[in-house]
Parts: sequence; structure tokens; C-alpha cells
Amino acid sequence: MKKNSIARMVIVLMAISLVSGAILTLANEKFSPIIKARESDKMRIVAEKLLPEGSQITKVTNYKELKSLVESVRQENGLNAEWKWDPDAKPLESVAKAESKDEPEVDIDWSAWGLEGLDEEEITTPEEETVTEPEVEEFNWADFGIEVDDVSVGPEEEPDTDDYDLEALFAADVDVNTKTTNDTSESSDDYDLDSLFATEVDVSKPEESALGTSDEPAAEKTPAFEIYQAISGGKLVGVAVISKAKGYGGDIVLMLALEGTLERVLGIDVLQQSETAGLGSLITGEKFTSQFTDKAVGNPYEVGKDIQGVAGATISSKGVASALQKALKNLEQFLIDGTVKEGA
Amino acid sequence: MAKRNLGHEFIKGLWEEHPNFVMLIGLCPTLAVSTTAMNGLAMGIATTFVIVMSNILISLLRKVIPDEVRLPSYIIVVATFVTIVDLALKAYFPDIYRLLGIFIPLIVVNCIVLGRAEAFASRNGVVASALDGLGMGVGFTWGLVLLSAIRELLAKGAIFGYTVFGEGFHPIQIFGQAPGAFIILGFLVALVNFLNINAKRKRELKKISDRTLAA
Repeated sequence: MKKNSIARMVIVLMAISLVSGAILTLANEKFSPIIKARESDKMRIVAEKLLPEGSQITKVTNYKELKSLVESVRQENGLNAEWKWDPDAKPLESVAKAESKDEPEVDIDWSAWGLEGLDEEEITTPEEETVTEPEVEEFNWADFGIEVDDVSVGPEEEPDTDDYDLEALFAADVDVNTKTTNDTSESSDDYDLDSLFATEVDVSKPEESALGTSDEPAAEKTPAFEIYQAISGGKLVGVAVISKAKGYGGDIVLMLALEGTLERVLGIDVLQQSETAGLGSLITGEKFTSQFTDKAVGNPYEVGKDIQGVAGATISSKGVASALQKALKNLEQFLIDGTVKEGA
Repeated sequence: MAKRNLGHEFIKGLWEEHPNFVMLIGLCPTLAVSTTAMNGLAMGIATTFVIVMSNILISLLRKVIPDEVRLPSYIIVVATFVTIVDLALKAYFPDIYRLLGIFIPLIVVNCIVLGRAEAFASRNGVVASALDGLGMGVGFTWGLVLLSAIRELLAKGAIFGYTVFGEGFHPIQIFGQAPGAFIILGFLVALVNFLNINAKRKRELKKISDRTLAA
């Protein structure tokens, strides 16, 4: 009698599981091609919005191809064939679209820029931290599962390794504890690794758990570094770079679109963020992003210097700034040997 | 008699046993998703589909499933439908999917779905279970849309994305976040309770006056 009922339970449960498995397989077969097609289109759609119209947009896989395209466009415009992002370049005036294409060496209207620069400095105070952050050397703490706080000094500044072992062990201990308890609700402090120790594999962003933030895009895997090129009439007319940096509530992923000569910014778009609603989330707003449009590339990209931050959201603004710096550094390195220096 | 009962199975979910405002179940998605009216509507429809389908299937299987393993069986059934909804939304409505995010998979553990399966579908016929599920789903949907419309109006000055207030409107950010959801839900529950109590009192008063008149 008892045996019988156990057998029945097992059979019923197995039957239900099998049927449900079969149904799900069918559903997956039907839906997954559509989902895949959409996901690969997602980045391209954003790139299309930023890059010049009518151009053919493709993902760059071969750096030599992009390099030769960039070089030819630059030579055509009388520029040095090799492109370098110069953070110390004197800020150039916003270049008008038509002018820049025909004559790259435009007469510069300094006054407008000078004024703007002053305004920005009054509003936000620059701090050194964000600038140094991306320069921390890659050190594979990640292998040990160790999280390092922002405050802790980067390995290059204190070469005494003995001290570090202790600290690392300690940090590891603490982190294991917090990890297990906070498994479902990630706090924003947990992400330091992503920006500091970038690996080539993209780090999937944890799901949002806060109730109120559900109108932000949910966590999705976004590539940490990707380049798209826009070609029109056999010429390179634009390059879009995807870059990621740490913000206040998680990672900020953005796309930076440059002109073919890589001398002018076409625009930026924030692809993913989970900043505070109403404050940090303003970095997605037109008011913030439009300040980059048509600016010269040779800028330091520091909040307070050439970026006017979002009021009350210094960390979010700095996140965007460091993502931009990373984008340009990565692009520079990519054009040299096809690798990514800053990782992430 | 039977017909009236079936009608009642549908109607009761809309007000009398409203899942959000009377029974206070399924609050996690209610509070989390109700940031814009569109989100609320999408979530409501997705949940309705899952409740109806799982109610039908569980009602069909109610004599096959042994009592001891009913919960795992229900979970499998519900999870199957939720996964289908999840995939379908991801494929055809990626924008909505992005906004609802984790809360679509979480329908699996929504009290309303399991609650209806356990309390109703496992004891009643297919038609009655389907109607019960539909009623609960529609009730959940209107509750969610009402809550999220109010929140969207206060936090964004819009309903279903259409701006209602002019430029001068200053959004009240808190209503876009978790505390705002609790506040509005509290007011709505109070309102529903107030209406219910009032209606009950009137009915009783009428009964008494009828009796005295008859006497």
C-alpha cells in the first residue's frame, strides 16, 4: 500500500516534469532565435542613433582594418596618421559639423570655451580619486576572490607586498561573510572589482533588488568593450566605442561615438546604469549627455574640468567621466595592437 | 444555481476578495512594478495569463496529483507557464521585459498564483477554476494599474507615458520609489476598507429598518 503510493508520487511528479520540460523545449526553440536576433541588434540600434545617418555600421573585429581606415581618413584631412588621445590637449572649441569635415584645422574661438570652463569649475569640485582610479595596474586579486575597497591603496603605490598578504587575507574573510548574507540584495559597494581589476570577460551585473528602482533597465549582460565602425561611401565616417565604469549604484555602460578622424565627439549615450532615481539617473538625460556632442576629443574628461557634472550626483558623473577615459584609452590601445589595455 | 455560482467565482476576485486590497497577497510585484501604469498593466496581464493557465491545468490534474506532492507539482506547472511568458515577453516585447526584469520570473512564487491553485483549483472543476483565475487576474490587474497610475501621476506627471501636467509640475520623487508605493497602497487599502465597511453598515441599517417597518 505504502510502496504503491510512493511509486505513484514518483511517477506523477516525473510525468509532470517531463511534460513541462517538453513544452519548455518547444517554447525555447520558438523564441530563442528571436531573442538572439534582438540582442545582437540592440547595440547596433544605439550605434545607429549616434553615428551619421546612411552609413553602414558593423562591429569591428579586426583592428588592422579599422586602423587603416582611420589612417586614410586622417591623412585625407591633413592630420597625423597615428591617432592619440591627448588628455592634456588644450580644450578645443566645439567644432561645427560642416567645417570640421572640410578643414580639420579650424580657427578656434577660445573665449566661449574659457567661459564654459570657468562655469563648470564653480559648480563641481574636481577630486583626484577618479582620475587615478583607471590607472591602477592590473593585479589579479580577482583570482583569490578578494574585493578591495576604493579607499585601499592601489598595489603600485605601496610595493611592500608582505603587508598586502595580510590585508588580502583579512579582506577575503570579511567578504566571504558579507557575500553570503547579502546574496540577494547586492549593495553598491560590492562592485569595486569591476572597475579596478578588469578582465576580458565581461562581468555580468547583478540584478537590481531595490523595490523602487524597477523602472531602470534590469541587469543584462552588456559587453564591456566593443567597437563599431560606420562606413559610408568606402570611407570611415564614425566609430562608436562601448565602455564600462563603476558608478554609484552599479556599473555605468555607455557608448561614445566619434567622427571618422577621431577628432570630434558625435555624442554619447548611456546604455546601462542603476544610479539613484532622480539624481544620478540624470546622467542619461539630454542635458548632461548633450554637453559632449560636437566637442573635440582631446579633452581630459574630468568632472569639473571639461565635464559639467549632474548636481548632487558627483559619483555618477565621475563614473561617466572614467568610462569616457577608459573608452579613449582602450581605443588608443586597440588601434596599436588590437588589445585592450584597461580591460573592463 | 450553478450558473450564478460560476458568475460569482469571476466577480469575487474583482472586489470582494480582491487579492491586493482585501486579501493583501501578491504585494511584492505590486509594490515593485507599479512605477508606471504601463508596467502595471503588463505585469497584470502576464500574471493573469499564468493564473488562468495554471488554474486550468491544476484543476484538470487535481485527481491525478497525490496530496503529498501537490506543492511541487503546482510549482512545476506554474513555473512552466511563467517561463513561457518570460520567453515570449523577451522575444516580442523586449522593452517591457527590460522594465519588469526579475519580477516576471518571480511570478512563480507569487502568492496569488499558488494560493488560487491550492485554495481553489485543487478542489473545483475546470470552468470554475478558469473563471476564478480570470477574476483574480483581472482584479490584480486593475489594482496594479490603479496603484501605478497614481504613482506615475505623482512621480512623473504622466499616465501611460502621456504627460498630464504642464511644464510647471514638479515631480514628487518619493512616489516613484518604494516608500511611495507603500504610502499609496496604504491609502488604497484604507479606501477599499472604508467603502466596504460603509456598504456593510448601510446593508445592516436597511435590514433593521425593514424589520421595524414590517413590524
